Amino acid sequence: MDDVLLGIFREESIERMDRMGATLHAAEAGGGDSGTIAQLFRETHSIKGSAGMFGLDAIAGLAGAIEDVLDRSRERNVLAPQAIPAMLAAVDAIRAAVTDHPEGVEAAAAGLRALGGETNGFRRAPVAPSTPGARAGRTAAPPTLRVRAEKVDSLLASVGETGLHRRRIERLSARTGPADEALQEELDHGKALIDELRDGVLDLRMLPLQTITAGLTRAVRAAAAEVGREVELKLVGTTTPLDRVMLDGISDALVHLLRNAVAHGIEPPDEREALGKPRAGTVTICAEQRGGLVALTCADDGRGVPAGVLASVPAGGSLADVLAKPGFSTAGELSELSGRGVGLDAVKAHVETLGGVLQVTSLPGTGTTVSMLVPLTLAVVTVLLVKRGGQVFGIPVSGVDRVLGQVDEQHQGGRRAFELEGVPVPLHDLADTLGMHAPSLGPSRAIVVLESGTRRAAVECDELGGHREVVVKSLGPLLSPLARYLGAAILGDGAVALLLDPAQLVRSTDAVTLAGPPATNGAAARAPTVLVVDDELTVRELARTILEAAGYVVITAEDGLAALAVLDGEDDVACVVTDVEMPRMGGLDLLEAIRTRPGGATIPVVIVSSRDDAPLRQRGTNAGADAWIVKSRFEQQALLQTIGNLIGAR
Amino acid sequence: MSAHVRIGVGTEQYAVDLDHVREVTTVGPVVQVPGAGPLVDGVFQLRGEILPVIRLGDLLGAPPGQARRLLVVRDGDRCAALAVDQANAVEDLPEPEAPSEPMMRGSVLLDGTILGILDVPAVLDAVSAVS
Repeated sequence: MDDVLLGIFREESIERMDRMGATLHAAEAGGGDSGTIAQLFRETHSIKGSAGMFGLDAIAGLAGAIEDVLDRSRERNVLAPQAIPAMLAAVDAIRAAVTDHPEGVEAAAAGLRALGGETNGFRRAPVAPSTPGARAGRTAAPPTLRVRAEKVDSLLASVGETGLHRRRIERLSARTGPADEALQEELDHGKALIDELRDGVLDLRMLPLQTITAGLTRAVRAAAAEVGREVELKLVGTTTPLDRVMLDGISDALVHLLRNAVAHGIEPPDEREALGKPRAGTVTICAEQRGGLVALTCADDGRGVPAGVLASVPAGGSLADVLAKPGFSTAGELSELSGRGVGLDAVKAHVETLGGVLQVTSLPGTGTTVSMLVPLTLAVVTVLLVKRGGQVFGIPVSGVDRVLGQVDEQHQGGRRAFELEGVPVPLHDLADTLGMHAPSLGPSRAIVVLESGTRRAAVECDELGGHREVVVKSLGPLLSPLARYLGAAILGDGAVALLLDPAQLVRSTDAVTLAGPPATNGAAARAPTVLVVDDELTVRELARTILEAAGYVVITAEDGLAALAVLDGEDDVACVVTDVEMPRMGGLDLLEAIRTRPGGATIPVVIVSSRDDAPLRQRGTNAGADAWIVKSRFEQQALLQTIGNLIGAR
Repeated sequence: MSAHVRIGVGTEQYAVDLDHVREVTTVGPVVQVPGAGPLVDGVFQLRGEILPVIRLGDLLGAPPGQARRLLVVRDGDRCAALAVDQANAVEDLPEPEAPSEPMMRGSVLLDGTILGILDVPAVLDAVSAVS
């Protein structure tokens, strides 16, 4: 039996004992009625069952002894007051025993027996070993600490504050003149420490998928019996950690997917045999971590979605969207179980609420795979900051498809849209979408294409503010009914940014169709190439979308050394845009290396720095930087103009 | 008798049961929350916590004032900051007469002034209803 399961048993038992303790104390004061007895009986019975499963016979025996006492009380319909102290002692003994202190079990069992009456059905508990931690047949579990979930969250909030505090110090120190190397070193060290601390706290919020898989096996068995199927459930990757806030909803969603797979995926045994498949179908639940996401898939080896349904998926649409249309069902027969599509809309909506995506792939005759891609944690998200009407908003990058400068806008019936990869994308002013008052957009507006599932919508804003990793804070019970906000984040300068829910924004914008043929994308084969160097993926991709939208070919590298490797293999890099601080080789070292290369003296190099630091800037200028852009003032228009000027002037 | 905080809203005087008062603070930068309704001025952060700011004057139909202070109130897990002009005196007030108007638990006569006792849960309900 797994140690994780044992840990869960421990926690569960302690909770049960706490409840029983409270109930017994209440009964001591006011007498216990039949409801009290029934509740105590249920709790005791569960403990007895689980303890038995783990081979913890002493605990199971003691729980059995409590049961005997309750059984007699049940006949009389009243909990005898003189029995309560002995039962409280037994409850305490069980609580101690599940945390490896079984010394009190024997005495507690004796106390219960001393209550008199018959001891029928009570098997004497084996004598517990007297040395703590040396329980028969099991190694000592590491000590565990039970902590209320809110405490972990408030700890996480404090860590977030500490990070902001460090950033403020960094900013202040940059203001007081030349960067002191020792100070900068300490600040960097502080950042590493805070990151480590934050990862540690986040880890406390995580529980393995295992915590919820017990119910899945039951659900499959019940569903298979109901529709006369033979099904084997396979669980893969059950140790994958998930944010505990997510587990509850995920459990319901998985049960839904499993029932669908059994009822509508797996064929009846005879039909399977005729097809040359094993009589028993297989449904696999698999969890795996993919970067900052967790993929939960439910795959069956059944008949798959009918070819007709697959053919009905519109270009640019997805099978998940078709199947998740409310009321859609592929059920060819009536059954007690819901049709494939019934409820899939609920699963999809749930996954999207979590900032995730639902994907479905299916091969007729071979099977169907439904994947839920959800973020690893809900507590910290990376957001793209946008500004509209003087106010800063954050949009999780998981919901941002790309960022554009200019689009070929088309109007239809008062609505605006543009063509993107052959699909019309509705375009709205962010201020209109939110219903806020703001001055009209200037010519240097930025367009953020949002993505939810396969639907896209674009919002216009005044400018972009780069990306940030932020701690998500709740807006509180008064404002949380506003579904368009995921919460709020406190930025480095103490300002509050509302976090927008991309799924809600996309949903709130209507789908549009465009008249006329799709605009042909005449991307010139001779477009100049820009090399973007940054150690952060989101910055690289943000720069890529901006530059590609402006017609450049973009190559990316994650640090100076990788950039030099690119330059070794590519002759026609027209411009290099680089970050300053990167592992292995930073931007200034890269600049110096480029200038000493053959032909490297004339390549324009743009430095993008998060710090507007005069000495650093001087060093850049001395080494031959062509332009210096400060990230906090990072405007795509400025970047495009700078690059345009530099390439043109070459 | 129970302790209340006396607040000034425009030219009117009200009192809030001290059990519902968390603290009094000054108005910092308030961020608008589009869609939150006319009674919500926005949100601000108080030592890392995000709190809605409620236009108490508008809610009570009081003549406009400066609303330079924030009275942070709570009812269970619901918290909000009420924008008020003054909040200083804490005084013991007798149990109020039966409720006379909405948002009030009643009123008491103190030194010749009629003080409405604010019904904090009702105020928070009113904000939820329009947001």
